[in-house]
Amino acid sequence: MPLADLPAYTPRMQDQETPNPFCLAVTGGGGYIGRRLCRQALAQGIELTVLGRKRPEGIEEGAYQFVSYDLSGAAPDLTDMDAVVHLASAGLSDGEGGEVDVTGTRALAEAAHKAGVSRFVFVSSQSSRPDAPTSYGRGKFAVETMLAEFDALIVRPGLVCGGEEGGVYGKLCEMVRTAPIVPVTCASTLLQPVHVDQLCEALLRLADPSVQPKQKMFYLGDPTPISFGRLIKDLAWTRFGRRIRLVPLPISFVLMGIAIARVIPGLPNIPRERVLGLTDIAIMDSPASFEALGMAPCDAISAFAQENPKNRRRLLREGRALLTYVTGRSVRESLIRRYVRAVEATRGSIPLNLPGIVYGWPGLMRIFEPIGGAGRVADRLAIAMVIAETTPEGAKDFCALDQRSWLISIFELGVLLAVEAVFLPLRILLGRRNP
Amino acid sequence: MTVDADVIVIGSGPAGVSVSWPLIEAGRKVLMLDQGLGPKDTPKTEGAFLDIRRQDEDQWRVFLGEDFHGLKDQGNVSPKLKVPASAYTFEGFSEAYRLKTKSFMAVGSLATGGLSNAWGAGAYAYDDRDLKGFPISRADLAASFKAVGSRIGVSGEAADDMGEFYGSDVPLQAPIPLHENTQHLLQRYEARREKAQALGFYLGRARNAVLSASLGNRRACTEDDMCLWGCSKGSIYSAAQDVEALGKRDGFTYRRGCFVQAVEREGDEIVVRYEGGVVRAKTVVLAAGTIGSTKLALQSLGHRDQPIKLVSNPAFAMALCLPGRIGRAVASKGFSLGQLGFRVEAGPDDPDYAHGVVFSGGSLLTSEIARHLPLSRPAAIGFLRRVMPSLVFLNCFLPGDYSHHAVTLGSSGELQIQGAYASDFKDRVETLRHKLTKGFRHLGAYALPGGARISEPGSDIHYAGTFPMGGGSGLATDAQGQVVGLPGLHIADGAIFPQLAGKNPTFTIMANADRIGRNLAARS
Repeated sequence: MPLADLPAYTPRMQDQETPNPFCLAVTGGGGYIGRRLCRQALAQGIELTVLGRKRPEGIEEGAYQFVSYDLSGAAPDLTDMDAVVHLASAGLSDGEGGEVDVTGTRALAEAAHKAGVSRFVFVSSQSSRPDAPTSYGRGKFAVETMLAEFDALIVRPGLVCGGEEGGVYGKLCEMVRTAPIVPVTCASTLLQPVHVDQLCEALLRLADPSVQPKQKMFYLGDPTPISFGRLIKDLAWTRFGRRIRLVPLPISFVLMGIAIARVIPGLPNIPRERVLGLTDIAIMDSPASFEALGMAPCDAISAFAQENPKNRRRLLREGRALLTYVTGRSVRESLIRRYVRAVEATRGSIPLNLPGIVYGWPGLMRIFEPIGGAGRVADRLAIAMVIAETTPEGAKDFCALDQRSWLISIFELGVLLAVEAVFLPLRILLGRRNP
Repeated sequence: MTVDADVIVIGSGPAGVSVSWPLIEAGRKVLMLDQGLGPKDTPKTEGAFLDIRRQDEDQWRVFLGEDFHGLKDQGNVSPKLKVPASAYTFEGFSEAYRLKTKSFMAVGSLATGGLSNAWGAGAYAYDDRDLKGFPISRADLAASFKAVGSRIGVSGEAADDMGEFYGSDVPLQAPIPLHENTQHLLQRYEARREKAQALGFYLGRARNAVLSASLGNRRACTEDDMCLWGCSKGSIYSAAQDVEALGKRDGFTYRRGCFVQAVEREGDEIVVRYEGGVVRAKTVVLAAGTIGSTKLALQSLGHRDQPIKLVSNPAFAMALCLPGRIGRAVASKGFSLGQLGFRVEAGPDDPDYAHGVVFSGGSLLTSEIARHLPLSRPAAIGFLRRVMPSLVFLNCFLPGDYSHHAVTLGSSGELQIQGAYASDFKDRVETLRHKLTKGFRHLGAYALPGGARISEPGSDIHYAGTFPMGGGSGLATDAQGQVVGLPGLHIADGAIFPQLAGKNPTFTIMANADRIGRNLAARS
């Protein structure tokens, strides 16, 4: 499986105004995705109306219209609107949120239709399926089905992450912010995260009534899925600089725990839905959707890694350690910066999480270097090697520029292989493939 | 309607220019349509590989690229796909043809000169054994081999053990000098020929479309070992050189920026549509490369959702060590495309053979090999520093029967390719590896542990077999490459080869295209 071989998401220039400003109504504008969407819309010069229970935080109140709106209440007046992006949902809380979503969305779509709104974009979910394990997923599917008669555009995002903490992303951040050991279930479930800003850019492109997409359904997520466990570890490391240990728990155990926590006051109330949602996720074919949108798929984890300036420093530290390790001597600063540029350009912005001692004593990589060429560490070492080789000093390190006697060479090779054999058991024990 | 040319040729690669030359010589008007991507303005680096390596602070731009192109895919792909200077050769191909591949690496080109901008330059003529199943014989190609050979300039040796097999009637320049290692192998072979031949193993000079003496404005090889990274002298043939030469001739028009979307028959003419234009002619020749031509022809016939076979040359690579040469310094000059050619015959009653070439590792980065070694990085680097000068590398191609790929034009216009090897392929590679190991051991070269590295289906980039010449009434072409059911539409590239022998097919594809061009020119 390729490693993160996509560039991180770089948002469009914030001051780049859309060529056709239009009037957009956003439901759920105060939520996690909503406030990012509102900010992007305003930056693009779109005339914005926010429909929701709360205002989007951090945006000047005069910049947009606010209409108090609840899915279970009356449909709003959508006169003069060109497009609606529908984010509001009765939510992930357990119970029959799905029913409210269908009736509320129908009322909204009818209001939009009546008001002559030309574009209706519904934000569904990767979990949307008639046989989804969660009522959330089944509810989203029911809404999608209902919307067929309204000619709506449907967006199914994978796990949305990045930006200010909120939504499921916020919950995951909470999980890894402080605890050294994180119990997880379904750690091997494959997810396709999408960065919140990239999702918002896609939503605004789809909302633009002057552009007529050829399809109705868009799947947005990293084309290369990442396991839930990996995602949590990367999140802890890139966002909080923390190394965490995952303790896998069986799903039945977790569901029981949730049931118990619910009756004991003071313990967190985790919706069953959130856990069940991890049990069965179908992989989406997202590249075609990105292509249809005229956008390049990106590595969402890298994108949120870039939000934290510490990650660049960590990459520099990593570069120094790996380059020193492969060449056996200290290296120029310019070479370290070249390493970081190479990693960022071709692998994304996630620094390795090597044992701390390696940064001070790079030679110790000798015991932490994994056996075999698979995994992130071996990949970064391969990059360090090429960067070190393609310099005049590298020519001396990597090529025999002078002849040496056969006997001495064979002796040297013998010593080299003997040393290698000494370290082999340590590497088997301590080798880090994907820290 | 007036026609735009006597013949419209789609594509500017080896097949496109080869079909055009005889038409131009005969005074016909040829319009060549092409996307025509060109090299980015990366300056070609003068100087020898080792000098650049030792002195140039900015060498990473040459070997990795300003955008670190060379690091993008660290998978098991051929080094030539990672070369920054040839990145434009492969750019945008898969998107333009909307390829969807499974277990298949599809490589193609939208560049002027097509894939020949980054080819291995092996120039091997198919013989009658190789042409089994073709509606033509070696004699039908003889004049074309001569014409194409003298046009592109082939260096090699006619009188050694591979001379006859590679075609003794092809005009040859003197071979390019061998590297010390390959010279050593050839001398040992000459001394122990009988032992090797008893195994069905034959060795000789490779044939390359690389100049040892200047030709036109192309200069002779100076052995600077920069073959892989971009030859600054034009010694290696590229069809882009022919496009330039054709452009100086009356009757030839090259139209760049035209990615052809559809080819249709209207009345007694063929209409060619590209974004922003429509042209027509009585005769249209598809030479877009097997994948491109196959897609256009399938579209013209409306043949959708039904898989058809696609042939390629399954390949594997091995590294060999000449232990006596451990401790030598790296050679300061050399030529790093194929130096020696070999074949391994399956047996006296079996016409099957595998063919391959031996390279010096002269222009490879040590890291390229080091990352495959089962050692820690510092040990791998230290090991190779001493051992690299004693290594040679071989790449071996098997006949197309060992490939079982399928290509389908989907209903929404995408081209699906599913790759697979024959079930007996791995056994065959094992047998061959065994024979090669034994054969080369007689020559004092020992296979490195780790065995044969089998390349991913399709990564050999020898594609053929979708519209076989003489393939009857289904999806096929006649002996002139004319698509059955679409009079006036011809195919001149690998797509019309019914089968692939173990030899690299490009030179024979060019000769066949030349033959088709001659026959088209001879018609009124």
